[in-house]
Amino acid sequence: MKRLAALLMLACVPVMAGASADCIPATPLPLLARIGPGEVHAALLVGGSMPALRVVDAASGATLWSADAAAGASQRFAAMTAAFAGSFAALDTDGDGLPDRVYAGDLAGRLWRFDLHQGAAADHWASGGIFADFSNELGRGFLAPPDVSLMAAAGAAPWFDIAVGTAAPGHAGADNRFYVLRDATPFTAWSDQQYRDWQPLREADLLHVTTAEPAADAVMDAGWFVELGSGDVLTASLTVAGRVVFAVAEAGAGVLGCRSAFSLATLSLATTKLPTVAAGNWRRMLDGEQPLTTSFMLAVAADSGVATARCTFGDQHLADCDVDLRPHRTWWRREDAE
Amino acid sequence: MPRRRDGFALLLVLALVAVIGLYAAATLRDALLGTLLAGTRVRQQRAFVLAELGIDDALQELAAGTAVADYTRELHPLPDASESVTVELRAVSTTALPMGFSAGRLVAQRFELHSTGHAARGARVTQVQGVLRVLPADAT
Repeated sequence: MKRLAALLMLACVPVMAGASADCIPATPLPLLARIGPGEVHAALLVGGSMPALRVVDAASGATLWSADAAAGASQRFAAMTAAFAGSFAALDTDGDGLPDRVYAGDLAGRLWRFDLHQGAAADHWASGGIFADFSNELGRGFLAPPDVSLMAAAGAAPWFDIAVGTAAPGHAGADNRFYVLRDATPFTAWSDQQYRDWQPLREADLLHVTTAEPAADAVMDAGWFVELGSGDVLTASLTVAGRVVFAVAEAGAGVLGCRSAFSLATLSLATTKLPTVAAGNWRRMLDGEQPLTTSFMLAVAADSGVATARCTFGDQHLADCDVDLRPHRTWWRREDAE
Repeated sequence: MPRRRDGFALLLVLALVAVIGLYAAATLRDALLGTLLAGTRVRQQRAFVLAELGIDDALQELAAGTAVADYTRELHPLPDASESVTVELRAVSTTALPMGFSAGRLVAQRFELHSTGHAARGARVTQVQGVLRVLPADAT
């Protein structure tokens, strides 16, 4: 039943946006994959249904690995009953040049975490499970890729912040969210048993960030979320210097064919201080002619001596996410004094 | 009949002169040592400042360009040709997981700068500086 709902949703995304099927294309994720003892493939992680996930050779299109709840896939995950669109992020956490972690959001509003075992056979290539479950009856799901950033605070072990928002184009009552979830074991691969034992994060585990100051005893161990109402998150957010910038496509009258007006928000990822959503965090872009697939881009000017990489959303410059390119001094020592 | 005391005065004066001479020699030796130490310290300070100039120069160059290859070069930032700086820039690592930035879309590059200032009479000081910069992934 869930699969049917997901399939219907997948099919309806462009229709409900009032546009052609090209409005919100499901973008595959390029990644390097070594499945079995053979060579490393330039591959694509592709979402869909039957199977829900596939890794295909980028050149030949041959399926190298697949995952689904049903038989016939390389690996079966009993809970993989919803389709995936293009909400993927792959990370190389051990620096060997091959991705070993994937976060993937499905169309039922669930975020999956996978550990890839590069070099293993297809039937053991990945271990994984549902990391967070935010499904609701109104059909919100994940279309935008997760934005993962490594964070740390004094006296604490580092963690991953996974920033991702939900979307349900055409469902005015979908009650969308923007989540920042913490993965406290960024560099540790989980076993199948650990995935089975993991209780997926739910909204009750997270801090609900509003315009009000959080309570003094509020905790944020698992992450936080903000309510977006009927606005859809269709593109990946961007994190710069501990602040996340994300865009929300306006629903209803804001959608014109494949174009929409967007609101932008800039929030601190909050390593220590709890965040609030002040009015100044939000800025409405009045241009209703932005493509629904508009994303944040960073461009370094060719001029020598440039101190920042300009951040743009569509054709608009956003100083909030400009990147300071200047080198910074870290540690120092003196030696060989004679 | 009074006793003659002329010889005692001479001995006293000679002893006094000897003491003063020893004191003067010791003072002179301290002064010379102090001068020597001060000169060494000044040259080491000059070498330190030269090393600092080398680091500043390398940081400015890093700030000016997006991609920088490892290098070793000698600079003469001061008019005195006998004073120089040897700067060695070495890229240590590039990580796709920069702290506080979107993984994969931005990268962090770490460098190690060895800057050795050479002043007069072989005075030499090396400063080693760690450097970090963040770049868009497609700019590396």
